[in-house]
Amino acid sequence: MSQRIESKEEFLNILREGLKKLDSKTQEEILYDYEEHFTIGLSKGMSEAEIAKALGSPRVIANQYRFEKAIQKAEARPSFQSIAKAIFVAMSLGFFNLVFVLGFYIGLVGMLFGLIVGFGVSILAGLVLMIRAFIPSFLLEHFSIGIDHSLTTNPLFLFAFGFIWIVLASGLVVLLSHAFRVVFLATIRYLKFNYRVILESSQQTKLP
Amino acid sequence: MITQLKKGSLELCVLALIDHQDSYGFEIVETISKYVEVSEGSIYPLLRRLTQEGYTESYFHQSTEGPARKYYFLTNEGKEYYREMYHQWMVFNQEVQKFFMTYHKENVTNESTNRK
Repeated sequence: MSQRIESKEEFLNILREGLKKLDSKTQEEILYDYEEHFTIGLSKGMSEAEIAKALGSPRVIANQYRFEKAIQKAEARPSFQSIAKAIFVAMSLGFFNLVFVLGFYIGLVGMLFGLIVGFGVSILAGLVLMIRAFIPSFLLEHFSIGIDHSLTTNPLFLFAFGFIWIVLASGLVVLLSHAFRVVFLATIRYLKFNYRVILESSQQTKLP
Repeated sequence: MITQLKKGSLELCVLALIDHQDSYGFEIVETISKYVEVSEGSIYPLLRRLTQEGYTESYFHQSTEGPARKYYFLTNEGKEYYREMYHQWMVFNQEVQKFFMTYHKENVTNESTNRK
């Protein structure tokens, strides 16, 4: 969609609409810049339509500001939501390449997340094993866990195995969480880098 | 392809202009578009980001021709940043030129026989 914007009012309205999720002080500051731009343009004899055409799509401009905000938020507090938001805005600007990068990215993040949850839950299993160590063996006759029977009733084995498993699983969860954070930070850097490089092109793409 | 090349250098041009002389938004847009075809709307987000990163600051100045204008100037960090970026740009340019001197052929009509 590349509709022709004929007036300053129209331009600013679309821009304001795109900025509505930002705080009011920021909105005011941004709109002021464009007001000033129109005023000066008019004083130099340009028409509002000409000025609007030269500026480009107000929706795309609004997305650029939204992206800056999203990236700042994601940097200040890297969380799943803030990163997802930043990626979403980046996609609307056209530079988080959908098919290839996004698919791979979701796979990677999903895998990490799944591993963290899986190992996290398995800590409970380790706890169960440790508890079993204290239950007399005759009560467990009906609850075999499928390994050599003498081992599963040996309380020392149960306790040690459970304990070691908890330590290992916790360690893995910590490690994977760290990896998760690294992926988040790398994502932010990737988005910032791409944004600086293609800042220009988003103005020339026809975006819905 | 040319748009890809322009994108990274827009910031550099804006910094150069402000370094040369305190300027207001419209003037920056007008001057740069004399040399390079540019989507003018990207200039203001760029200026805002430069200000937030501490590279530029602005002040209002009354003009005889109309309303007060917001002038931008480079901070010390901004000047340092610009010098660094300019240097990187020049080095990159020279490297690419050198590369072309060896590998660019004028009037290539056939498919390259160097395909593997």
